Amino acid sequence: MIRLEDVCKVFAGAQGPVEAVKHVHLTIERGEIFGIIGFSGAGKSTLLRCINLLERPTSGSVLFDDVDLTQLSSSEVRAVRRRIGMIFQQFNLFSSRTVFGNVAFPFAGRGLTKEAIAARVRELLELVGLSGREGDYPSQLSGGQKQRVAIARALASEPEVLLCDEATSALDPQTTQSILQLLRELNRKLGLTIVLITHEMQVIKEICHRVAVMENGAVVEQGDVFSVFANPQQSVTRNFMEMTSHVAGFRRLLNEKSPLLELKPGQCILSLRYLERNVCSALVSYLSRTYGVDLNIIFGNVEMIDGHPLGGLIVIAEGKEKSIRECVDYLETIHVGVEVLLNA
Amino acid sequence: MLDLLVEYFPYTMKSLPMLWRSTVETLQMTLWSGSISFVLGLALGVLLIVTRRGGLVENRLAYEVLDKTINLFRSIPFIILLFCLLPLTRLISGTAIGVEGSIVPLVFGTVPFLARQMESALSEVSPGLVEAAQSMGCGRLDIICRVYLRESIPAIARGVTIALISLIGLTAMAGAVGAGGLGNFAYVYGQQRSRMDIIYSTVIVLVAIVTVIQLLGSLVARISKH
Repeated sequence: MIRLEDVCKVFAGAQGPVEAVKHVHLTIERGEIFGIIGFSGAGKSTLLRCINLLERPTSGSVLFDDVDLTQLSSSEVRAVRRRIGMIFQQFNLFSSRTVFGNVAFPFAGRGLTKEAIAARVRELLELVGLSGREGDYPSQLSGGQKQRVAIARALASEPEVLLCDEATSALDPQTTQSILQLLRELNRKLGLTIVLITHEMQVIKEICHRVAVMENGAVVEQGDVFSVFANPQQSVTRNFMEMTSHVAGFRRLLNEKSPLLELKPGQCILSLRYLERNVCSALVSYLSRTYGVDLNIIFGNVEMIDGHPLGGLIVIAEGKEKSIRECVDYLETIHVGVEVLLNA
Repeated sequence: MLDLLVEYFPYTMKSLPMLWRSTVETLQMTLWSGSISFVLGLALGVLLIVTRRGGLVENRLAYEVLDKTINLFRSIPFIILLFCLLPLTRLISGTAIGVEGSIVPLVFGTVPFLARQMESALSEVSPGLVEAAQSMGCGRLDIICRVYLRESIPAIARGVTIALISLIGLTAMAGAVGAGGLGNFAYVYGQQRSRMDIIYSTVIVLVAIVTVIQLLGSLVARISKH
């Protein structure tokens, strides 16, 4: 549905040109939720704005239903933008207008009667769960409610795509959840394609089907969320993974040679990582029974991503050296990543 | 009460019709040149905002020319501007004295100041709002009218209030060199004849006018801010 081909964006900076986006190729399918994650300054915001040409790419093409937007006239671009909604981190509501006025904003000059507009606005507000707040001004709303109004406004022209620019970054965790929930519902109910950018791993895990990881203006990794994070190829991807998994904290204990991790002879610490979708949950007891190895789980972090467990365990294994080796071999045959962290 | 007024404002009480006429003239000068300046100042403010770096129709040359021209006019003291503009005033108004003769210099004296006020009012509009409107497919004119102007009504009201009050100051100066109004009244009938009470009475009237303008301006700013 949306195809970015070799998109580059160069800004003129104080110290020479700055390449904000470098040779990005992306394909976004109709009906999916596509996430772009990266640390701040990675160029994801610029990339997102290239999709609706708020930023005009320096080179490359932006195809929307096989039409290259960069070749269109400015009035044609405006027409296309009505098919691409957008919401923002700072909501960007018009403070001089009521909730009604904000949602009705895109209808002006479209030849609709007052009644038709009012009916449509009511419908949209119901969709985002804000019925009855028509007369309030944005300053009277909470952050989450503001974002809901922004979503209603973005949906007013019945777009096929919704671009979300850090839409939950200014919200508390609970509100973030409810907005993500709403986005997921809109995706299912309306078949709305969603492209979102974020620096929060949680958002990606929560609702995205596919993800692209950005670093220094380039997309360094992309694919479906589970495979990208089960098997990160790039250090930036691993960073995101570890940020939410507390593994970093564990590694610190290890580096500091914490007394918590003192091993007796015959023990070793293993890290087991689930790399594929078919991990059976009885793994630990199976290993104990089959190989006579005692596995003491000292740390576990398993999350459901896209309906499959992702994450891993850190265990102290105790048993004969040969048995432990057999254990490790077996784990590798079933595609569980094993790493010996510490060996007594 | 009346006795008291006659006692403290003897000459003023003798020339009340004159005071009244001067007040009306000052209001006429203020409203006429204020209205014209508002339209021109707002237009220039919009031009400054849209042509500046990162603006809707970024145009370096237009911005620089406008910016420098405004600075030029702002740096000329009004009393000198009055004299400089004499030929132009005669050309446009047909006279250089009276209320009619004051409009041209007052507009020239106010527009640059008002344009700066409008520029700063409009620049309070968050770029995010402009971006949001663009993402909804709005054109430039739409964005100027429905985003920039609409969103900055409170700030515009504050800016116009300040400019109107400074304009009243200018009318007094114009009055002293032949434009009529309270400035002329205070100068000719008060200062030149050493009748201090006339000067004080014009001060009272001016304070009243300024107060009303300030109240109205604050009211508009308050009810348009949500």
